[in-house]
Amino acid sequence: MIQHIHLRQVVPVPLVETASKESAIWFAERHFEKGKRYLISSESGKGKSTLFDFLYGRRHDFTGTILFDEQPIAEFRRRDWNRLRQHHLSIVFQGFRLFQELTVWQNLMLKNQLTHHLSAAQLEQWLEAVGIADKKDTLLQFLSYGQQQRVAIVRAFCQPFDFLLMDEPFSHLDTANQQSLCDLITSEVEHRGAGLLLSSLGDTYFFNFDEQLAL
Amino acid sequence: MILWHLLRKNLALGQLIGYVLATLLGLTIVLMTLQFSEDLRPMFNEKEGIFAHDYLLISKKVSVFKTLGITKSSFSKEELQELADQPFVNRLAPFTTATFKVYASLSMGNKMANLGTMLFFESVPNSFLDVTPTDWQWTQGSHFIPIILPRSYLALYNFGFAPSQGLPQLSGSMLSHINLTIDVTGHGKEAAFQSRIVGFTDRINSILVPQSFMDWANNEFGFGNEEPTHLILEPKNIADPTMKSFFSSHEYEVANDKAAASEASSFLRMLIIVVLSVGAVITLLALGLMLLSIHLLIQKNHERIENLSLAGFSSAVISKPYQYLVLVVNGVIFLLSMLLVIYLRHDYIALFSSSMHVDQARFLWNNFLWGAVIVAALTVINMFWIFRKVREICR
Repeated sequence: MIQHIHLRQVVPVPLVETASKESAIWFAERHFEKGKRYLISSESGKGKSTLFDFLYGRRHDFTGTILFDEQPIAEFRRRDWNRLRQHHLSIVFQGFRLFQELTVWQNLMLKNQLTHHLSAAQLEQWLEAVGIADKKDTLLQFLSYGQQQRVAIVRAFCQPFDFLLMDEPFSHLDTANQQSLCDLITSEVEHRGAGLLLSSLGDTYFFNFDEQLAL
Repeated sequence: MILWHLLRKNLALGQLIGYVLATLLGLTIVLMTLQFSEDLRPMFNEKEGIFAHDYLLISKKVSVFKTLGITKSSFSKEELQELADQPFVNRLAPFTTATFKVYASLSMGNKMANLGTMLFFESVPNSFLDVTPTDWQWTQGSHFIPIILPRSYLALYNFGFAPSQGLPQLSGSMLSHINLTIDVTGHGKEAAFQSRIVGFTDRINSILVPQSFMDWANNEFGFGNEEPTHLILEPKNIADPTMKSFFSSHEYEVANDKAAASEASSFLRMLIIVVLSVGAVITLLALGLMLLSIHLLIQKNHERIENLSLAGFSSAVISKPYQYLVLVVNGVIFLLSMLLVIYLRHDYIALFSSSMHVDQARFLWNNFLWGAVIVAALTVINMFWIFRKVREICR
């Protein structure tokens, strides 16, 4: 269980020279509380994806300290990260990191078999809700970018989480789809009492954020 | 299942088949060699094999002085004792030479033809013989003397004498059915004995009669046992260098009846070691090939593995499909190799059955174990390598 995330004077090593001192996150004391929604906005190249990589344990090249419930994540071992990624942290990568050679259903089952979080019926409902139920048995490589984005979002729900990290998740969706997805995500995050960290180039989409932070 | 579906991408079937064939070849050579050496072990056996003891025949060098009788060509008691005391001697026995005259004749029953020849007899203690025929005994008062002939004499007759004289070739068993009459004369006495060739020796190049007969007859018809002119010696270690220097310093001549066999034996051993090493090298190269292919495969699936890791899969779980693959492939190699060994062994046993006896039941269960150990070692190395390579990618 992660109740809150604490960033203490964190800055990516490659950005030590260039990161802005006015940044709401870099070089700052920053807290993310479970149950709250945060927008992290900036133009490209300021380190939005890098922040998510740090929080998700994919990269470790930062100065300062990141603490989950006051435990430095630098102390975490592979085993800890595997557990976090299965039960406490869920992410929608900017590039999705889905498997192109698997069908939509296989992509979801792969994750769900690891966590056993959703039933097959629940999964079908999710596909229905995001509007790609008819693509269930289609190989991912034959899906449009926007459709893949929705698969990635459903996959993120295939596990319990305390925080949901979303890295520019709506870049290829029309407004109508964005709105329906935002509603789905908001209700799901609220239902789970989880925190949401969402990055965008400045767009707030259709969320009610508790805090808006500029990198 | 989905994981396997995902990770089998980029699996190079050609490389896998190459690994299977190379490992199969190497493993089969190793196991075959082990089996072969095990099957041949009775021949290397100290006690009974064809490469059994090495015996040395010792005599003095014949020189002009000896011909003239100035120095003796026989061994004195002191010389015998000195030799027997040498550390390289396991046991030693003198040849006893007949000091009486022997005339052997072939009785054809009706005495129509009477083929005969002068002969000589020698004897050694029974324990130095390589054959012990059932009739090989003589007790005082018996009128039957068994004879052991060198097998080389028979060969000499069959391939040298018989064709040139237009005589029929004879087998050993035919010869042993011919009754001979032996006339022994000396010391003013004479006696006639019945005789038969009861066996053939590969070790001693002389016409042998039982020691008991020789001791009796030398006293009866000759002038007792003379000092021996040659000796049979069983060394502790045929390769002992001190032995050679002792013989040359004493001007003794040494004939080794088993020299050739001994060379063949060590040659065979060397051959087995060489073939075994070749098999081992092939197996190691195959392992190297496999490790390289695994590395390549995992690198090609780099992104998939990283994404699985980011989805929360542990390195151990991601490694499993590859590890199972290796397990199955190595299991198949093991079984195929065992079948090959059994099949090839069947073949070479058939090939050798005329010249030697191979105990069919001697199939090496040890060999099975060796195969299992080698395959298990290969599997463990492969599995560990897979885990390591996957772990390098996982974040």
